[in-house]
Amino acid sequence: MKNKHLTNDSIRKLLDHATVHLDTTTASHLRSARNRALAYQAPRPAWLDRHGILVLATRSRHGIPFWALSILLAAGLLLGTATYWQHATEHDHSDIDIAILTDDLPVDAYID
Amino acid sequence: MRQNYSTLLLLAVLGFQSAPSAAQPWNDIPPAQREALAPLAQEWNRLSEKQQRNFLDIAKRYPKLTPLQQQRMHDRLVKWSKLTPAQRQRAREKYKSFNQLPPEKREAVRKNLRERHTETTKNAQ
Amino acid sequence: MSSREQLSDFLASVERRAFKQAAYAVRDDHAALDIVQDSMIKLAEKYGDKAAAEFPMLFQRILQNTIRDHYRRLKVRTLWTTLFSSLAPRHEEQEQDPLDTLQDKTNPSQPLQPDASLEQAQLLAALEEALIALPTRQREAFLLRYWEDLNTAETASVMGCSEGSVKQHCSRATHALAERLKRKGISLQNEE
Repeated sequence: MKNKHLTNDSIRKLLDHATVHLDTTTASHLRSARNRALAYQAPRPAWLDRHGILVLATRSRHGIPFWALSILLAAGLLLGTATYWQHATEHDHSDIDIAILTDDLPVDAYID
Repeated sequence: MRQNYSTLLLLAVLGFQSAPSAAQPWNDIPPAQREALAPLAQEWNRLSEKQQRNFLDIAKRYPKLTPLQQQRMHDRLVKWSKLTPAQRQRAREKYKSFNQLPPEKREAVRKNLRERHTETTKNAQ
Repeated sequence: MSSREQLSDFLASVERRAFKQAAYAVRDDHAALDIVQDSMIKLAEKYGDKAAAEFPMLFQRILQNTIRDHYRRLKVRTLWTTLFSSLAPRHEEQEQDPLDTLQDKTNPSQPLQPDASLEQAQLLAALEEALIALPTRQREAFLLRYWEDLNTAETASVMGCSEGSVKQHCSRATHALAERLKRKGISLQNEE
């Protein structure tokens, strides 16, 4: 091999190239592994996304004044209860839905 | 100390939450549930988060159904998904009130509806 | 807290590098896949609720620890195998002594990529061979710094050692790589 030159940067590029062109079997095994792993992630309440500040409040090591926390807490309690009831009532539907979907009468019977 | 207390309360509030998270792409659904919801494969990505959640809850019970019930569910899934939320809600209410009828009345209604339904399909042909 | 999508995106972005890192370390594609799978599950299970920004470091630490666990298990297995193999008569079909596999330095774990230019393929093969030949800690430090782009402090945190140790491992790694590559007519220039 004629004299070749490598730098840290070109090393990274070479290694990246190797990963991009990983054989398809390995790539698909990795994808399956990824999906399997995702099933292990704990479910997360959706409303937390919109209220990231609440997360900050609990995680922050900086002193947040008590009054601010109280307001956030009240908001959290309200939302929490609302979401709880929303999800609690949502849950009831699956019993009825299954009944309607498997009953000996067709769905049409229940539609106006 | 105060901060710890409020943090605890907040965590307790969060503890109420048990709903699953955002919309799931079809391919990320576990295979058993995908089988239950197979007729919805094409529609799935167009469904709202809430609808997806509802269907996933239903799918969890699929394995415990009899083969006949499973077949009926598959036959009706697409139609059910295409109803408006209001229609679905009214359907649920009808079903509920129907089941509160005494057994003989229920059987009579069933017979009646079955005949009407068969007639409609006959006429439609 | 991170969404499923954020975790999924992160895993997708890191899975191939993680596989290669594990493959260089254990020289067994099958074991490397298992290691990556285990690491992903551990991240999702224990830290799936963390902010997405924390994933890279958490995952690297998990990955390196899982690789280390693999070695430990291998050593234990090897110990028992060598104990028993010294007692039992040697047969043709008997598994090759695992110690031999560990010492094998001639075969890179990945075949040449068919679509790469020949020169690039040769460079890659030489590089991979040199990486595989590195002592574990040196390879770890080198890849974490120069491939995963962690800074010295982050690398030290992942490896569970001091920043001084990280710098030492890195410079030794670079030196060792340079030596090996020189024998193949490739010069390595350290830009630090």
